[in-house]
Parts: sequence; C-alpha cells; structure tokens
Amino acid sequence: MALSFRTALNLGLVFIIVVIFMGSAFSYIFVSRSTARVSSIINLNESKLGSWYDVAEIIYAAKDVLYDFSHGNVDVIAPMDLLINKAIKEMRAIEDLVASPEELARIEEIIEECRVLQVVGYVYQSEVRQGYRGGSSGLEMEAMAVSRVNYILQLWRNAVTEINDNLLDKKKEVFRITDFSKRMLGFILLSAILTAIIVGFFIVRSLSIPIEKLAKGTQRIANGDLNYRVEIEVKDEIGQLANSFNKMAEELAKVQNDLVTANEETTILYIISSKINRSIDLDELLRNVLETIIEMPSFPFLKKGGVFIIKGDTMYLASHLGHSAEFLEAHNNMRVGDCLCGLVAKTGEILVSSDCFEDELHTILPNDTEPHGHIIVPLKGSHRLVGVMYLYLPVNQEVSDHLKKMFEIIGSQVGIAVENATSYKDAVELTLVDPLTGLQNRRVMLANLDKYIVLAERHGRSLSLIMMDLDHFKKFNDTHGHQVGDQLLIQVAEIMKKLVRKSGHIVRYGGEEFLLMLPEADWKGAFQVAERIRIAVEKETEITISLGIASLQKGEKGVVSQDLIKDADTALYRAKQLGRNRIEIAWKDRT
Amino acid sequence: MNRKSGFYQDFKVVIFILAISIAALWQTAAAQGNNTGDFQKPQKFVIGIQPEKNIYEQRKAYKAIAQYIAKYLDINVYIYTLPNYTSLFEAFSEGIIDAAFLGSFSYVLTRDEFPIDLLVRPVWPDDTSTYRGYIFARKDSGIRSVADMKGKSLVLVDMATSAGYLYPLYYLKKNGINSLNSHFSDIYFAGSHDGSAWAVFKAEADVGACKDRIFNSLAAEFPQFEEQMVVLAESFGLPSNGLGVRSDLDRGFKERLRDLLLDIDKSEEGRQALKPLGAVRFIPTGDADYRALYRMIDHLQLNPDILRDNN
Repeated sequence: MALSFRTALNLGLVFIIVVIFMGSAFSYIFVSRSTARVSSIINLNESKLGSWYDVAEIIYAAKDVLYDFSHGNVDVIAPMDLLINKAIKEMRAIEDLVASPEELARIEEIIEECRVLQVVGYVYQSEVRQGYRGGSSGLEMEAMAVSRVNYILQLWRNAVTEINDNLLDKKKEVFRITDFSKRMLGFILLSAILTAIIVGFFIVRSLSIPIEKLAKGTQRIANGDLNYRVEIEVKDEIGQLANSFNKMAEELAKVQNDLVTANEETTILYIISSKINRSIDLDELLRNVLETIIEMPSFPFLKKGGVFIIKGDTMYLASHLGHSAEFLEAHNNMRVGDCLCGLVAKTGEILVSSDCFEDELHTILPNDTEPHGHIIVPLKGSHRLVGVMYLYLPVNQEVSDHLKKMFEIIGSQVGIAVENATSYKDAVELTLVDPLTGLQNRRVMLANLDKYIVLAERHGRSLSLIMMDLDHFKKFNDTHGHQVGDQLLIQVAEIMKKLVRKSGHIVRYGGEEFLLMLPEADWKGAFQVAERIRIAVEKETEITISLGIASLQKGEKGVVSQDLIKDADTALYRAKQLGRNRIEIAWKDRT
Repeated sequence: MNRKSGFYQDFKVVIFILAISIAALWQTAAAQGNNTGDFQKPQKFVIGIQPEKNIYEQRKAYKAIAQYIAKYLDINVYIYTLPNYTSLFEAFSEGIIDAAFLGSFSYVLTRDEFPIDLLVRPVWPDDTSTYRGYIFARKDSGIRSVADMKGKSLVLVDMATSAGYLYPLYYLKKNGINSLNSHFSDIYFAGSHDGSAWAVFKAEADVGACKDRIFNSLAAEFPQFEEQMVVLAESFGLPSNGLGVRSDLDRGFKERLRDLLLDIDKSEEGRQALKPLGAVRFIPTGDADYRALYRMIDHLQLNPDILRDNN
C-alpha cells in the first residue's frame, strides 16, 4: 500500500531516530560496561601505583636523612627509622589491594629489606656514637645502609614496572574498546545514513509514483481516453488532486456522452424530420417513419411496429410493419382504452412495457404473439391526439428517460405530420369529390372526358353521356327542407352507383343535376341504364327524374366534351319540356 | 496557523534563546577576564616549607593548598622544601622563594633581616591556631623531672625552632638549668620534630622536645609510641606556622592571596585542600601575635644573630 508523503516522512524520521538511539544505547551500554570493568582495574592499579610512589618518596626521604646523619647535619637516625616504618605501613596498605601471590611476595621482600635497613641504620648510629663516623666500620655501615636503600629502590622499580606494564596493557584494552566504540558509532552513523537514503528513496518514490500516475492519466485523458482513471490510493494532496482529476474526467466523459447523445438525437430527429417532410401522403409518411425508426441502429427495437390513427372513440391501424394477418384481425376494431395502445390514446402519455406476457394491461395477445416489450408513443397534433405509434422492444429492455424524451419529441413531430397529411387528404377529397354524395365532381369528369373521347375515337368505340335532373326538386326542398333534400340527393346518388357498372363514371354536375359517362356504350345501352335509373328513382323515392342522352357515334371524329355535354343537356331540357320523368335522346348531327 | 509556519516559529525561538545564551556566556567570560586583571601577577609563585616533619609528609601536607592557589589565582605555584630551618633567610634573600609557611621562631629570626608580610595562619580542628612545645621522655626511663634528666641525653629539633629549641631552653632555665651541656650528657639535633620524638621513642636519646601536634600525631599513628612516651612539660600557645610573603610583592596580589585563603573553608574544594594539612580554616595573623615569643627570647637573652650564624 502506498503511504502518504507526510506519513512516510514522519515514519522515516522516527525510524532513523530509533536506529540512532538503539545503536547509541547499545554501544553506550557495551562501551560503558567494558570500560567500567577495565577502568576498575586501571583505577586499582593507579591507586596502587600512587601508593608505590608514596613509598618511593618516603624511601628517598629516608635516604636524605641517612645522608644528613652521615654528614652530621642531624645527630639521630630515628627520622630514618620513622620514615621506614611509614613506608612499611604504606606497603601494608598496598597489600590489601593486591591479589597475586607474586606481588605479595615482592612486597614482603621489600618490607623485609626495610627492616634490615632499620637494623643497619641503628648499627651505623651505634658506630657513630662510638666515634667511628669517619672510621672504616662507620663508613662500612654507611655504605651498607646506602646499598640497602638502593636495593629497596631497585625492588621498588621492579614492582612499579610490572604495575606499569599491567596498566599499559589495560590502557591498550581501553584503547581497543574506544576504538571499537568509534567503529560501532561509525557503523551506526553509516547505518543511519543508509537508512535515511533508503527511507528517502521510498519517500521520493511514494511521492513520484503518484505524480507519474497523474502525469500518465493527464496524457491519456488529453488524448481523448476519457474512461481512464488515475489510480492513487494515498489520502494526501496528490491523492486529492488525483480524485479531483478523476471527477473532472468523469464529468468530461459525461458531457461528451451527453454531446454524443444530443448529436445522435439531432441526427435521428433530422432523419425522421426529413422522412416526414418528404411525404404528404399519410400512408407513405407513416411507412417511412416506421421504417426509419425501426432501422435506426442506435435504437434497440425489433422489426415490428405500427401506427394507430384515432377517429373519435375508435382507432384504426393506419400503417404497420411485420404483422401477421391474425394480428391485423385482432386489432381490427380497436377502441380508445383498449390494450396498451388504447391506453396511451386515452392518457396521451408515453408508455413502456417490459414484457407483454407479464403486463396485465397488454390485453390483446394474438396466438402467434412472441415475447416482447413496447414503447408506445402518443402522436400529438396541434390541438389533439391524432394517433399512437407502438414499437417493439426485446423483453425487459431498459428504456432511458433520454429515449423517452426523444420519442416524445418524435411523437409530436409525427403527430403534426399526421395531422397535416390528414388535412391534405381531406382537402384533396374536397376538391375531387362531392362531399354530400361522395360522387366525383364535374371537374374530375371534365378532366377525364376529353381523354375518354379521344380513346373512343381512336379505337372506334361508343361513348354516351347521360345528363340527369331531379324533377321539381326546388318545390321538394321548399316542402321538406334542405336536409331532407340533401338526403334525397344522397339516395339518388346511391341508386345510380348501384345501377351503373364499374366502368361508368357518375358525377354531381351541380345542384340537383348529375352527369353519367358510360364508356363503350351507344345510345341504346345508355338508354337502358337511364331507364333503369328513372324507374328505380320513381319507385324508391318520392320524386321523379328527367334524363337526356348524348352519344358519340362509332367513327365520329373531332367531337369535344363540351359539345357532347351540351347535347345531353339539350336532350334533358327537351325531356323537361315534354313533361318530365322521361328520357330524351339527342339526335343532332354535329357535323 | 499551518504546521510549516509553526515549525519556523519554534526554530526562530530556539535561535533567539541560543543567541541570548551565547551573549550571556560571552559577558560572563569577559567579566572573569577583567577580575584577574586588577593586580599584577608574578610569573611564578614559590612557597617554601620547613622540615617540621619529614620532607615527604610536609610536601604532602601543603601540596593541595598550593594547587588551590594556582587554580584560583591562575598562576604557577611550586613548593620548595627547605633542607633545614635556618635556610629560610637564604631562600628569601636569594629569591628562591616568594613565601613560606613559617615556624614562629623562624619568622622572628628572618623578619629583621628580610621584610616579610604575614598573611594568614591555620586554625586546627580544636579551634586553636597555636601549638605548644612538649618536653618528653620514655615512661620506662624513670625520668619525671628536670632533676631526673641530669646526665641523660637530650634531643632537640633545630636551633631555629620555638618548640624544638627555644622552649626547652626556656623551661630548663626556669628550672634552674642555665647550661644544657652541664646538665645533659649529650645534646642531639634531630632536624625535625617527628625525628626528635621518634629518637626518644627509639631510645636514641632520653629526653626530647618537639611540637605538641607532631608528638600527638605520632601517638595517634603508633599506639606503642603513645603507650611508652610521657610528656614532662608543655609550653604556652605559640602561633601556628603562618604564611608569610615577601613584602615587595604586588599589593593587589597579596590581598587577593590573603582573601582567597581566608575564604578557603567556604567551599568544599577548599575544605578538601585544607585536609592534608589538618587545618579547618585560615585566620589573619600579624606581628602582634608573636609578642609572647619575643618575651621568651628576651628572657633567655638570646642573640638571634648567633643563632643565625650557627646555622
């Protein structure tokens, strides 16, 4: 685990201090114990040596007395005797410090010599008292005394040399210990430095690794890899920086994702809009929209779907993709409120269903239904709901809020488009069809009549026109009202539709006038049709009709529609003139 | 306050304290330097000591005091052991010594010839700063009075000592003996007080004289001595060996030396320096303290010049 910089630094410092302290404590204990042992030996020897030097001083003082006595400066030998006694006392004190038998034996030897010196001193003194100070015996005793003193001093030198040698050895030992302790301290210092270097290395590492990671991360993210995250576990400033950096990258990724989504949405909306705008025909429009949406690679839809158009309380399937006949049968009489689509038509709210078999509201399930989910979009016009678009989803497919919102927009666009297409269709129908009777109006007839005349002339076929007018219709209207009049007109139109073959064209020519064009019919054929109509009207309604027939004779050329219509109208007029409820044929030679 | 700035704050405080401490130490050192500059120090200072006891013990007794003076007056101090009592005058006059712990009679003998200023003298554990002269014999000699001394041998210390010469002369004269030579068979000089006492103990002489302090220290050291010796007479108190210095020394230095020794017992180090001498402190002393001695000399009608010449 990577440590934070501050923790690593503190731990490092503590570690170095502990190493130095432990090392110093260890070497201090070692050195102090060793030196204490050797020092006690040295102190003992130095103490002994001090006493030995005292002994030497005393002996030298005794020698001075001997000198003074031999030179007559003093008259008694007692001061020398006293000093020798003091030397012996000093040596007895040294004995207490001595452990080795050899040294004890040496001290005993010196003490013995001191006693001999005392005896020699008094013999010498006795010789002097007897007046032999300068005589041979006096000089002999003096020489003996001096030689005893010198011998004692020689013995002393031997003893001191031995102690000095011993002391030197011990001092060398102290030197060795000191040297060792110096090496030890050097080692500790070196260890501490090494430790400091190692700890420093780790501190730098703990600092540099996160920085390197951060640098790498910035490079990756700068190169566009917004999914890359800097992995730094430390809690220090660098960790915080990395966290902030990751959050920034996350935000960037999110913004980028939003931008991509928005761009995609714009594209989708653009495509759909363009499809919508390409067609004013409702069927074509809906088919285009459905195909575009279903084929869109960014959508998760199955290749099925459709659009219901709402008409009052009912809904009819205006367009669909991939449905079976059974499905179409099952949805033939849909009403607002039925199944999921009906529900959307009722509420106007977008609806998502994850599984058709689990969703209780999904009530219409044909036998061949396979598992699926739905997104059902209300198609909103400018003022009302015009339809419902349903799309198929795989089971349990999640639908994002984003997608829902987008489909709300699509729903509105398609809704407006549906509304426009419907209005257009209505407008076209208003132009070409008589709204009351559902028959084509005179413009359609006039547009096509010349074409039919040309075809008939070219192929040498017959063509007849029947102009029909309701008798006393004004009077009927006045009597029964316009509404009943209109119903009468509808009834007459229905009779005509029923009696005229499919190739025939019936148009409302104006008011209560109707014009029938019968391709390939000569005046006889036309008369039969006219008569059937006249009889049927007379029979089925409260009024009668008058009819005028004009026919294009075989081989006749150069006839124009207006001529033929005029002829038929003229024949009708004659029929009116001749008493109504009858048929007149125009025999006029148009040449 | 963040951590970093706290550290620098502490660092600044430590530096400030260090600076103050160094300045204070500097001041103290400078002040001490000034203190030693208000008198003229001699290049070296040599103290003579007389052979009151054997040379070895005398040197041992005064060594610590010499070291103490050297340390606190920051001068080199040496001890010069005088070969005998009467070599004192020569040592002073030849410039060998600058001071000496003087026996009382030695002072009197030297004073008229060489100007000496007495500074201090020691006080002993019994709170006296004097000594007495003893006259003694072995118990088994049977000598108990001056009369018993007749025909016996006498051991003295040196003619320049009060206890070892002047007092026995005075005592015997008071007891009717005007001539030593006629009363005693032999008269010996031991050269030191302990030598005199030990000579009687070892029966080299029958009667002896020396300082009470030396006699008593031998008694304490050697039980047989105490058992076998008897003190026959003791003198009145005489001033202990005081420190006298050449009069021509720098006055400031003399005052410093006197003050140092008068205060020596104030510190443990000083008390330790006094121990080998057997003293507890020093007190001021001067010529007036020697009046009794002058009277004794007058009574004996001694001619100091003769004594000086004899040595």
